[in-house]
Amino acid sequence: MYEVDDDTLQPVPEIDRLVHEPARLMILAHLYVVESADFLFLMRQTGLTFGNLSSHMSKLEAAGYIDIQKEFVGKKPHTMLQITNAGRVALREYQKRMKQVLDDLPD
Amino acid sequence: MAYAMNLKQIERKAWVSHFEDGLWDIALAMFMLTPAIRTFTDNVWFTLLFAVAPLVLIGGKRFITTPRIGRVKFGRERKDRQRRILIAFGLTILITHAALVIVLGVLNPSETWMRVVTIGLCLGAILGLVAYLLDIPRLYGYFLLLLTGWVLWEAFGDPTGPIWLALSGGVVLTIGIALLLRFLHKYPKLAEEVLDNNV
Repeated sequence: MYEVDDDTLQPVPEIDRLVHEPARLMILAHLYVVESADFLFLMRQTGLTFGNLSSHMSKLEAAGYIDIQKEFVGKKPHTMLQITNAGRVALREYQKRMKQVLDDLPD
Repeated sequence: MAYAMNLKQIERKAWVSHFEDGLWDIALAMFMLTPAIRTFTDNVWFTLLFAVAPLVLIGGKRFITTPRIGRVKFGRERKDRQRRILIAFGLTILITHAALVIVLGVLNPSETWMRVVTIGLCLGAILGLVAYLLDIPRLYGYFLLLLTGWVLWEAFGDPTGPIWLALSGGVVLTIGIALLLRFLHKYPKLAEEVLDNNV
């Protein structure tokens, strides 16, 4: 009988489900490579709809993965979004875990 | 949602999206067309096209591009790269300016080809660096067009010479306008109230 070593199954349960969701993964990846971006920029780059992006943003903000900054452009207030250190760590960790999981797949 | 998790490509895609609007193309075309147009008319006001080109670029970015694709601040790596290249760009302008003064002013060669080669090399160095700085491959093609137009102008002389530069400028302008129209179609302006309540 084939025996399963518990250690080899470790990476799968440790995958961060918040990051694993494709739309949120895209948002984090986009914020990871820039200093900050506004809502419209993320909408255009990710191809997500307004409602979809808004709801994922709220979840990422609640998890502390992104930070919302209010700033002024001229006299108008403007909202910029930035990935936090926790968000960066989460994305890197996710990448590492997924790599582990996929590298162990049989050919 | 097909998506490759390649962070470098994502960053580059974000960068390139700022050049989808065709404004750089239109501004460059204006720079190419102005000297050619000036040779066909005595009206000095056409020289103002040189000054209008940066205004088209800056105003277009502010009133056309940003309201449609949003605002982004790029990361330190891209900023550092731009800073390094800007320094190199400044040095290149100084060196090429010195080369132009020495070759055309002091040595003052009588052969047309020497003048053409000097100006061509200087223009090529500066404009190639602009393409590299902006990281937009189609600009290399434009600069080849500009150089070709310039060389043919020098080779044919007035009055037919400027037509070549005007033709090159016309090609770039057509591409710029086509890109701008595609950009306006692809990215319609969103209602401001939608964006104000975005998070």
